[in-house]
Amino acid sequence: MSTVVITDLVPGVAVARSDVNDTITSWVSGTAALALSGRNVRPEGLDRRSFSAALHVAQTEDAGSNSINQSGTASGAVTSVLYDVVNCGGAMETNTMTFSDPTRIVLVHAWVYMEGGATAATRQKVFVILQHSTDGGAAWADITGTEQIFRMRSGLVFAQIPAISRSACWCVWRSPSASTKYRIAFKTENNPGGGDDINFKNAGIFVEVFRN
Amino acid sequence: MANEYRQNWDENGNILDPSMWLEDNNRLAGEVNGGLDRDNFPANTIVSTEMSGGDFVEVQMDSTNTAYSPDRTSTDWQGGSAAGATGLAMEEWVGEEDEHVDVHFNATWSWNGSTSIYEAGSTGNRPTQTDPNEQYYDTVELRLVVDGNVVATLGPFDDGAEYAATYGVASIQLPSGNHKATAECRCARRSIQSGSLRGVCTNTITFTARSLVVLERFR
Repeated sequence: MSTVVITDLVPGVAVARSDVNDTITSWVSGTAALALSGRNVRPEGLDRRSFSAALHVAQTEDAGSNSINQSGTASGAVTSVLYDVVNCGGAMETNTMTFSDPTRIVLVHAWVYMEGGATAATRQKVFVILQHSTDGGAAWADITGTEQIFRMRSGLVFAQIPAISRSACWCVWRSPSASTKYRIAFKTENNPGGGDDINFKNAGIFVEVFRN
Repeated sequence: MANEYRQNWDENGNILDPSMWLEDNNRLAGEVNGGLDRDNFPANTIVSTEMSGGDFVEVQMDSTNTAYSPDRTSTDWQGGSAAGATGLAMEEWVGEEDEHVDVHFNATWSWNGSTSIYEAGSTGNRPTQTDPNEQYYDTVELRLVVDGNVVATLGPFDDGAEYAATYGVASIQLPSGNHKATAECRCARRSIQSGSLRGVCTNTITFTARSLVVLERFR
């Protein structure tokens, strides 16, 4: 044990620095890190409760309509999932589903289900594409690699396949972080309309937000 | 532990000893130097901006709209290189540690000629197999391959749909190190009845928009 002798200790008088032999190295020990990192944390000392929780967006679904309203923010520290689905309720040419979130990585999944009409002769080519906006929805841009096209061949008698039959598609995309809104857009070859007989039955989109 | 309490007091009559003076300091240092835990970080105290990017998830992607037409005269798997004129899609990455990986792939394509579907009794493309009643069509299959292992297969899809699309996903566990994911396709004529191979396609196929996404999930 190291000891320190303090001289001239007088009751009622403060100890001065000169009273203490401070050359003894044993006084200098026990340093604490000033720049904390993960190494300052006990192994497996943290669990998910320490991270701020994800807030699922408020969702308003308007089944049977061509429109849907979606709003809210996601604030999860690690990940959040936003989801939206719409029952189209019939033919339409475009549908928009938007999500707002300035994030580091966004993984967008989108799906569409459609049916050909009763008239097999209508060989409509259908385009489905994911679009994104960096200005809050004022302007939209197609996302490379997500366009999907459907059309049955003409003159098929093998199975009496309707024009489109039942088709579903799905696309997935790593979004640029600047994008704040996403939507699924549809169009037909002869857009707009022109005797098309295609029913978009339902569609969905979900956005995985990875912040870290 | 969230709280450390003072252990020693100096009182009149004590001999001052540095080890006693430093004991409190050492306890605090020990707490900070590797002893912090959830008591020090109560619920919802860590937000995203306090963590470095990629701690939990990384996403890689290979995507294009460039047309790619596989060799219709081959029934081998092909196209497992970077998305472009000569490949469907491919992604390479280095896993810093062991990880769980989701591989997503979507693609759309078109058949460029008339349908190859043979109708029994028709005068269309007559099959070469011995059973005259067998019907066939040109098909394309797709598969996802990670580090040489097939993790998902899609199809076969016939050319009755002039334009069509598909999506597939696989989820696997990988060790740390170099990894490679590819999307590949195989063109072949197949029996409608049995699905068996019946030679090469007569119809050509062109892939257009496609996207291969690799989602790395870390512990």
